[in-house]
Amino acid sequence: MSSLINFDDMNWIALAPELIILVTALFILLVGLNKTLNNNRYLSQASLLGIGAALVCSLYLWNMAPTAASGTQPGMFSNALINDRFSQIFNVIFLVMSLFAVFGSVRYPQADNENKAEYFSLVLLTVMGMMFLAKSGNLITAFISLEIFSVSLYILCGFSAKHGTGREIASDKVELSWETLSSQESTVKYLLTGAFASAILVYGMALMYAGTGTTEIRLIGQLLRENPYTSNLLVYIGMGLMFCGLAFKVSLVPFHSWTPDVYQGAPTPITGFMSVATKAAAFAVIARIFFIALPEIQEIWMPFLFGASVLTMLVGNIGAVFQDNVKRMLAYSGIAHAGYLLIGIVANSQEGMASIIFYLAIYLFMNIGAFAVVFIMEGEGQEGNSINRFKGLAKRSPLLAAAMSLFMVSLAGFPPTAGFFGKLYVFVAAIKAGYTLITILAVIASVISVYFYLRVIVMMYFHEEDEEIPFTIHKGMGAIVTVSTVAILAFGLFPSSLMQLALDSIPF
Amino acid sequence: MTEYFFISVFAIVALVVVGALLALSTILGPRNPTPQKLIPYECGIIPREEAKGRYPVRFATIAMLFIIFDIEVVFMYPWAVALDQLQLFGLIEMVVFIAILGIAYVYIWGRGGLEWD
Amino acid sequence: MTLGSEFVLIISATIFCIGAVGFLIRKNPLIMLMSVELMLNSVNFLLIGYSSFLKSLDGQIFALVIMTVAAAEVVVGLAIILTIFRTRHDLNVDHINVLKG
Repeated sequence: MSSLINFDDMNWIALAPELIILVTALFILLVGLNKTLNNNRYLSQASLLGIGAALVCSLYLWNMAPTAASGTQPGMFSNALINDRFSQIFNVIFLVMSLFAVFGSVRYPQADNENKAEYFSLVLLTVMGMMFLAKSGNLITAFISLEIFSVSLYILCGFSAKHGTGREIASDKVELSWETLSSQESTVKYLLTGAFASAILVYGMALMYAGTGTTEIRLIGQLLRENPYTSNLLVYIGMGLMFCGLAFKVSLVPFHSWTPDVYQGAPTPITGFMSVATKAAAFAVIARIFFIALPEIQEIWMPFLFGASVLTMLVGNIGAVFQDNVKRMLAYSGIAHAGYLLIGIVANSQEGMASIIFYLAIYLFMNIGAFAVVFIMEGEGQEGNSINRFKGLAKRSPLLAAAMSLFMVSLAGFPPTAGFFGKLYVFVAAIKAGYTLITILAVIASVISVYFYLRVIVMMYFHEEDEEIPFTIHKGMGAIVTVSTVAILAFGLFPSSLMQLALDSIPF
Repeated sequence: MTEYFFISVFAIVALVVVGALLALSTILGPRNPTPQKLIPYECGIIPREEAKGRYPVRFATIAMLFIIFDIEVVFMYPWAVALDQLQLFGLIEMVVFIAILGIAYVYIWGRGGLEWD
Repeated sequence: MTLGSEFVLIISATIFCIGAVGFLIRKNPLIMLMSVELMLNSVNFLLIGYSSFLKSLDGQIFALVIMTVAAAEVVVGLAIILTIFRTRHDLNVDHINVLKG
């Protein structure tokens, strides 16, 4: 009997970042069993070590990855995974984002939470799932990796909730803290909507399989190109359901209603991590599916993406205007940014795809910085993230206020910050592809967004503080704010080098 | 065909009348809901829980853990069927798979997940 | 008599819709999770049916994967719901409503 296994395309080295993260996660899980080592300090150091090693590996692999020029095949493991620069640059985005969740360990998991190791382990497993998602070249791997990160995030959202011992009786009523109530709500909402979305997504994948007879993304594209009769109703419905399922994960309108509640209730480091990393992961797989598998039927999906993009931008930005809670405001702003990112897909060109990567890289720093400031200013209870806490911040901590202003201005897209160039590249790609209307609508949407971003700045500079609100700038968070500030200024001044990097990462 | 025509006219008229009556009563009828009115039983005490009584199930955690480990066996069936073709590499893959499950098992054991009560 | 692929398609679509409607109208998170399971099982039915029509094994592998993923998702869901029930003694999703704005 000859071996059925094809050893030739098993490129274990290209999987090094994922494997490092997996081993670190399992190691942390076991270390957490020891009571003295189950300590935020040790565990976060171990996770940082793993993330750092994976980051170095990813950067190295980005350099080594097969490109169109080098002529080697990007597919590996029977095309279940794809090793190209596109996936490696997304790895970097996920890993940098997870640093925020790890640095947040000053406050989360709380001192009395006995499941400290699980927090770090789950963050790492989430990152691993996202990394595999960006690499996946087959609908099956895409589904598994999507579920790995979704299921881990369901748990992480509920991390600031107290859980019972199982010995309570219904008659003794305990007053539950706001943290517990909101975190419970966040986790249960994310769980239910997420599970529903996954079911819709996987039904779409199954219909796609029924229509074409394969689950390999590249092969679906090839079949649709070569045999036009395979593009039948099953493929269309499957495509639609897959888009709906992924739209839930990216929180596109009309599938966005869970986002503000989940983001508000989850622990702040997890909110910050989710807000960029899940979007990046889902956009990576949307790009792969729509650009590699379904370019032949783009006249069918294009109007839907166009409409979803416009609605998402408008609803996200208008929704954010009415928010007094900064976390909720950033959640709505995240919805709006998903709309801007979708323009890059609508543009349907290499440049559009590169502008998505550019935008995600910029958005990563803007959001990580903004959430770090929110984390620093965070208080207890229902008003813990109220915008009123920012009143008069400029007097007490001019540097922090200046950094927050920079993040807000950049999110709003003023020149010469990096956020302006992020939007600019996306819009230019759309105009080059002939979509002037969507660009005009996007500009209108960003004009609306100026109101609520500037409102934070006005609160910081032109309002007197109501009462002395104590806050401490932890070393890790201070470093995140500094790095984000520098990155936004640097990319704002020299955007073309990063854009060149993004263009180099486009495989198709 | 004519009798079908009359039946369909009759059906349409019936539907329109019923629909109109329902619509009118919803639009015109006075409505002032109070929490009391909205509970399932307007008289009597407020239902605190569902009708079927609940009792604590101590083994719920163990049952959930069982589901997880039980379902992983599903991957061993196709592997066992094709073992002679997968050869040594297949065996190593399965050992790695079971080792990862083993780590999960050690973790659960260490955290006291398997303790009854 | 052999069954056509339409049969598989219609049955799976029906089960999927029953699950989706069940998810949308029920208030008990446990029943909602059960509805999601129903939806995932309809996917498995579709995959295995088509795997035999198309003479390809991808569908069966996908079905195995969905089974394990569904189990993992449901266990996590049950655990989350259990912790909520332990602190609140109430399992109506309409009562989990503190976040709004």
